[in-house]
Amino acid sequence: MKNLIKADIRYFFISKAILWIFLLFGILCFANSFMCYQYANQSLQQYRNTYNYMVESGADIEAELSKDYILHEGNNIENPLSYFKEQAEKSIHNISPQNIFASYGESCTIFVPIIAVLVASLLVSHDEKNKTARLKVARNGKIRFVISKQISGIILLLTTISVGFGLTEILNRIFYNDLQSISDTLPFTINFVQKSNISHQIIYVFLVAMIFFEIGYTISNIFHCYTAITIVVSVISFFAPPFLKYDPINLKCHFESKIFLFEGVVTPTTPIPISTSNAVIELIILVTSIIIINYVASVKKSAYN
Amino acid sequence: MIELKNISKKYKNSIFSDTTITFPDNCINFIMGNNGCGKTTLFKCISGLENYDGIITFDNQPIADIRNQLYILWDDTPFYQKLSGIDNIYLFCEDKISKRKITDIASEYIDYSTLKRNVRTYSYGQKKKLALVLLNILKPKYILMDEISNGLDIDTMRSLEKNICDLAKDSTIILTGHQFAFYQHIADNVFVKKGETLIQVDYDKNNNIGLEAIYDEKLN
Repeated sequence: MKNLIKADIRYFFISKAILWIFLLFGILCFANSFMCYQYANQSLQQYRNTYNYMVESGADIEAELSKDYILHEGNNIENPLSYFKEQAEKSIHNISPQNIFASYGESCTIFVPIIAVLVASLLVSHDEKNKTARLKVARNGKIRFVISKQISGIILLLTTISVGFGLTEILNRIFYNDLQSISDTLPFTINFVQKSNISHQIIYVFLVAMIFFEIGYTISNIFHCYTAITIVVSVISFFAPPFLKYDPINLKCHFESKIFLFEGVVTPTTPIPISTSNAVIELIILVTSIIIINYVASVKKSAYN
Repeated sequence: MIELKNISKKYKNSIFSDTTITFPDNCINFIMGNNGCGKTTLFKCISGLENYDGIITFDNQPIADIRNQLYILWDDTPFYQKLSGIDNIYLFCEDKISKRKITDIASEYIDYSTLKRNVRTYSYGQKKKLALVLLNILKPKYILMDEISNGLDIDTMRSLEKNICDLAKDSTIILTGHQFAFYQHIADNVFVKKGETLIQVDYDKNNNIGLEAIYDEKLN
């Protein structure tokens, strides 16, 4: 088993597939961090413009800031200074060092399913297309072969997610320092309460990675549609709303709405209402079903042609 | 010793029906049969790639206990096409030897510049040589070779002949193929796939009766 896992991981490095995965994930992380920075910059600019305008109009700034804002239909805002201050505070907080994992986790809700399915389809396809699965299965057996693929996939995903987090941390620190030089002159209190603690956020990201890896692996293993499954999951991740109360996308949306504040540029998809206990039951049924389907498909598979 | 007891295998048609046969230890066992008669299917059954009815044991042990002592040299020699020969050996050698030692062993079969090239640029014969390199690194106890002599040049066939005889001192080897001139010098036991079963025929490699005569007698 250890040899199979080593061989899979070495294949990803020797073939440079892992570099392409890092590059793709890195670009997505960079895009997210940069867009968050741009958003924070714009929010800050809007606040400063409104602030300066009110100072010039002779308004009492302290009094204006002490009032709550009201959003009316048609984007009309009552007490805009308070509103823009809150928007600026939220967007700066989003890329602040104390919020790095939450900010990264929010982007992961979209990006990780894509990367997980991509890793899964590559793990299946490199041995299927080259017919090398035969060599490995003959010397290790079907079950060990499949289990080793799952472990290799998890190791590769953990590495990719860690690399993405490292990159996001560096980028967010650079962008935050840049914003701080401007915002230090303004009366900001960047102190928000998270919806959940960091351990829940980490568990959520890894669970999403593993579940989508299993879905991708099982579908690739059975239908051999390596590219198609990655494209389908990418489209679903970026654009598709949940279709049904009990579909896996709705489950993902339900949990992410409980875990993240979504202060950055990632807009959360509103889930179809479902109770958390039902969602947990659905999650257990989903994971168990995928594992059983995967096991049966692997044991029944015979030819390896 | 590889023992097949009451083996039956069918797809749409029956390939093997209630076949019982023993491949003795430290011998070179040669299976002859027409194209498509099921020789490769038998290898897949022995290695557990195909499901079948019956029992197959390796020195009285099930395949699960000896898997890492089994190696099949397939006719189409599967390797990662986009990787070099040396990288392929490195990935499949299961850390049995260092990368430097791999180069030393591989250089006996393939020159270094070829080893550094992608496998997709290899000829059929070069891929076979690469598979032989892997076989000599893994040194398995049970070796199945599917049409090993196809595509090899005369020099490689000569060294392969010696190589197989050396491996047979510690291994049980089963060969299939159609180039009888090559196999008749090395085969200790000959088996014929006839109908839905496999039968052992009397064979003495020092006798003048060649494999072609056996083929004509049993299969024509």
